[in-house]
Amino acid sequence: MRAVVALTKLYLAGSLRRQIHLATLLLAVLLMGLPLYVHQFSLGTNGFSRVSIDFGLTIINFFGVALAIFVTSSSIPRELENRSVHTLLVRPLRRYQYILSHFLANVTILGASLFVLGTSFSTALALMTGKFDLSLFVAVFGFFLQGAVLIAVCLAVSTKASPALAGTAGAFVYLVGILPEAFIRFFLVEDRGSQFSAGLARTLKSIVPDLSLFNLKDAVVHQLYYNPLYPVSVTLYAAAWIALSIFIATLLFGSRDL
Amino acid sequence: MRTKLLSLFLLLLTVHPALAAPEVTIEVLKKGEGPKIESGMVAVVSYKLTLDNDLIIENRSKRNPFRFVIGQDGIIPGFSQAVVGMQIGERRKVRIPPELGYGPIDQGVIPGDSFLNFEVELLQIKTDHDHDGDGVQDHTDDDHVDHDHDGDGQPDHSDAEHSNHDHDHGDHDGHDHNGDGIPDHEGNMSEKLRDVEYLNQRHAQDLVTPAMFEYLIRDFFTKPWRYEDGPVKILKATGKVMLAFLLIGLLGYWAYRRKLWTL
Repeated sequence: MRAVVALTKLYLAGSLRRQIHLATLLLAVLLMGLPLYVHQFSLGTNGFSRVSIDFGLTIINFFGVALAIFVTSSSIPRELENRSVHTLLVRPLRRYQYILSHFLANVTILGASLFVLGTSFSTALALMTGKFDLSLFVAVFGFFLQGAVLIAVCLAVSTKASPALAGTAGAFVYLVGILPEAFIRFFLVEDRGSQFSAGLARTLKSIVPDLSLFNLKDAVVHQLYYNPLYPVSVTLYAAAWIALSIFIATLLFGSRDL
Repeated sequence: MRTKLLSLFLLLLTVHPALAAPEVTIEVLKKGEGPKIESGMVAVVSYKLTLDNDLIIENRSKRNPFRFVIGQDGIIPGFSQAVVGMQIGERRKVRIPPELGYGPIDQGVIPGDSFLNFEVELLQIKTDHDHDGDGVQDHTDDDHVDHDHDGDGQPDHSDAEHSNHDHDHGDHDGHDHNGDGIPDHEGNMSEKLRDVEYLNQRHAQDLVTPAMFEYLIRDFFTKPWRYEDGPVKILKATGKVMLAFLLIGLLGYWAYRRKLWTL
């Protein structure tokens, strides 16, 4: 475990050198200004905070997805390409430890970024409304779980594929994972009458993580009731997918001739 | 004379099929239910029109159906003939000869003397007494009890339990009598929108409202976080993932024993 932690720290330092955090900080500043901007269009109504929250959380969601896919899809292939992986694996380091450290580093980057974005956005809203709304962090936590699953899936693909292919696979899993049944039913069954396409879409959806489960944005924006056990259950769901993906990543990476 | 008569008889026999009135060929693909539609009634149908070379000429989906009075001018006679006698939900495959179709003259992309192949489904029968367009007459014959205020195609008393009438004005009270955190009207709506049978029925009847909106609402109402049993469903899904993990784990163990990969 000590080796995993040490390697994770090493990767985190590497990401700081690549200045990934600057993108997060820039977006955080923009998010701070968002409520003020949206307020210009509110025409004096009180619902502006709801619109702001919806906008802000959507931006945070997309940023989390993009960060998870782009950072993860290139991390292992880059090390394989510049052969820095060889200097690591000659030490007493197991391959699963190598995969695990990559995952932990990327998840830490994602978590820290989402936390910074969530905090800056909540602070900006609190300055406008005079109330610090902690419920926003429930939605941000959902985005974090979604990103963590995407990182694990991308990592599994990137052990065998190029960064471009791993990124495409990540985007594919995301798009299929959030595909609502309403979309399949309306566009494929009712509008086009294509049972085959609908069946294909449902099959694909059943073999990738259902990422729509992590989206609690609507509940937070409209202040709707949700079961308090819900975040716990989706955490377990995410953990199961992460464990499965990491295991597959280890299998694939372990079978690779380096 | 006899020879001439015989020749005439033989000639009549030969040309008889050509002289016979052209007919619409009908094949029932799916049976419907309820009363049969008759000439003069208003039919709401979805259809796909193709030619013999499989060229699709027109496709009117359930979302964008075609509505017409059977037998009215402007509708090709064969199409009216094809629809007469259909029941709601019935689907027919129909072949219309050019004499009952567009005739010998080209009609846009349809060449003259083309046979028209329709696959048509009757979605709704309308009568003069159905002003709200929901497929249910505004007042029933006798006692005027079965009102359909909400236009969902179901009389109000059948929409829910008798103690839970679904009148329009009752939908806006925002009360939460059952204490589930969801206002009662949302609860009723969410229950209905989870019922596939209800959706199918509603989709066939309420064709005026854009269906996409309804599907988006359905998507919103069927989010698992809205329901008490949401976590249970997610735990079941988690169980399936763990089962997959177990199976792949066994496969991995087998491969590890054969040194196909290394930890």
